Amino acid sequence: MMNSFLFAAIAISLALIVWLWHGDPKRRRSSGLPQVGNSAGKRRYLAFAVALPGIMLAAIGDSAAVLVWLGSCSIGGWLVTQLRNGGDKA
Amino acid sequence: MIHLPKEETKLMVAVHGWSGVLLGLVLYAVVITGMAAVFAEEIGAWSAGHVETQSAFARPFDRSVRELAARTPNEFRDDVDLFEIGDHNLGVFFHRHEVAPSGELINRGVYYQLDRQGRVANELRGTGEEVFGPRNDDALSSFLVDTHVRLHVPDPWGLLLTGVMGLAMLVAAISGLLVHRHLFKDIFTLRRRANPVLADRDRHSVAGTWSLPFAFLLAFTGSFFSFFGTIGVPIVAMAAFGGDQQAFSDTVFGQPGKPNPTPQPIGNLDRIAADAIGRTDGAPTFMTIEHFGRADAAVTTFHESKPGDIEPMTLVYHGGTATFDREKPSIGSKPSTGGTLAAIMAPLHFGNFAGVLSKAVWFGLGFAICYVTLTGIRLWLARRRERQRSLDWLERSVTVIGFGLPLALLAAAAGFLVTMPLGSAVFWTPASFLAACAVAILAGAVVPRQEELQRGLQIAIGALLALLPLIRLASGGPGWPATIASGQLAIMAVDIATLAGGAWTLWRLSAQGRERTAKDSAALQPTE
Repeated sequence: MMNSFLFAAIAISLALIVWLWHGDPKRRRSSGLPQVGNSAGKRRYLAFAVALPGIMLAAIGDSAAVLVWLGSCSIGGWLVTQLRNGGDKA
Repeated sequence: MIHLPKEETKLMVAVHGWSGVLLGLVLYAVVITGMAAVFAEEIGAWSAGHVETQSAFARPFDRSVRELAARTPNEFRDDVDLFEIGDHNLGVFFHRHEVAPSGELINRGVYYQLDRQGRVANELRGTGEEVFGPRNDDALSSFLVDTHVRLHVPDPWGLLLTGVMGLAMLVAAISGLLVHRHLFKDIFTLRRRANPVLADRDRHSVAGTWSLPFAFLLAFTGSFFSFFGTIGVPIVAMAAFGGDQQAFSDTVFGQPGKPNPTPQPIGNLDRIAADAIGRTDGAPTFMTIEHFGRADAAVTTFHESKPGDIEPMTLVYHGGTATFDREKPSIGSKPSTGGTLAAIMAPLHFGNFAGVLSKAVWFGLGFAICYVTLTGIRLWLARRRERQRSLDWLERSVTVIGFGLPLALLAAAAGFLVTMPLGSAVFWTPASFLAACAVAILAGAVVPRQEELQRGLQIAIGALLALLPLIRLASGGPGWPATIASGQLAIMAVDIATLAGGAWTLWRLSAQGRERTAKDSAALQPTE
């Protein structure tokens, strides 16, 4: 049961990280993509939303799940940046 | 982010760059072996074909320990350590404490290695350091762990060296944080087609930013382990116990209470193990009996953390009656913040607090930190190349170590798989590692072009990764049906991981080769 919560938390945070990545203005500018990125305010809300599942796991008191969630977000975020950049324009 | 004055930023960049270049390659060696050592248990089972899944403490062992006690000289029956070895068999070390001429606390006694039936398979006598060397069936996992912990340098220098590497990683993480002005603004920016300096900078800073919290965590906990026994214990013993390390150990880790040397047989150890499993949801990872055969005997069982927690559990039992006494903090006799912090150091460093899931995450973080280290050195070199100060020898060294080291680790695994059935794995595992290192160094010296060297080493890594499961099967390792039937899924998982890793490496190299050929043809056409 706890694992289901953990996987859901990781999936939600990673989905939001992908959203942040997609709308990141600096990345879009440097990749020559159209400037339709997220505004600063929207990025702040999204960043908070990324952290929210981790905060909820911490509130439940599951320290192991918090660490696994944080580590998964770190690796996932890095991989999203690494892997998907190949599809961008030069 | 953090805005430092220009001069201070320059200083921080210098500290970051030079600490990385001077210590980065050794740090890389420590981190990459640590990354593999996260799965030391699984790699041990995979390489030696261990298919048993039930803990030795979940099977009856009380009778075996009593029989061993009867044959052990009285002088070594002060304390007993019990732990798992090989394919979930039991290792039993009857010993007494001694203080070496150097002032260091040591254990001396008789170490029994038992087989599946509880019979003595091997008996060794001497100090802990003398008897606990690698065995034929765990030579590979021991080699990985020993490389990570002390780089095969004798104690205490090896531990001090890896401790310094941990501190170097902390310095690099802190200085990196201070010099990077737009840490979060640049977190998604990778300009791969920019000039080499910018591309390397982005690769380094993106991976570094994402893994930053864990770089701090792993560096700090790693340094803690390296310096705890080598510096921390002697200093505290000197300051508070007049240099008496035994008194320090008794006070910090021992059982308080009035000594009672009245002879009394030890209670039923199977009952203690069963009770401990019931209380913690898991078999002990280690069990120790203090004052064996006395009325004040105490049995301590050590356990991994309960689901949802990261703090390992320690239970204490009255030895004579085999009844539960209390849950013990890792340090001192009462729970404390310091005790909790000391207890969580190990799970935070090893990532073993939530089974394979947390280990996989820690493995990934180790990979990211390896990547940060190598790309950092490459960035430093690219900046110098841009200023016409090429350091070709250092670039080659980075390539030889960056790709030669994983190749040598894979060669050690192959050497182990081939020689373990012959009983000579303790020698051939490190020998295979050194032979592969020699080949990589030789290639670094003779291959004319840097790109060819890099590609050649990567091809060797990919091919060896893909071949390892075949070598394992050819040398008599259990097949997948047998591992599934026994419930030992680690063997199949490691096979799949190495096959997938090898296939991905070779596929990536093939794609790069095709891309380069296409570029060369495009460049040639206008000339024609």
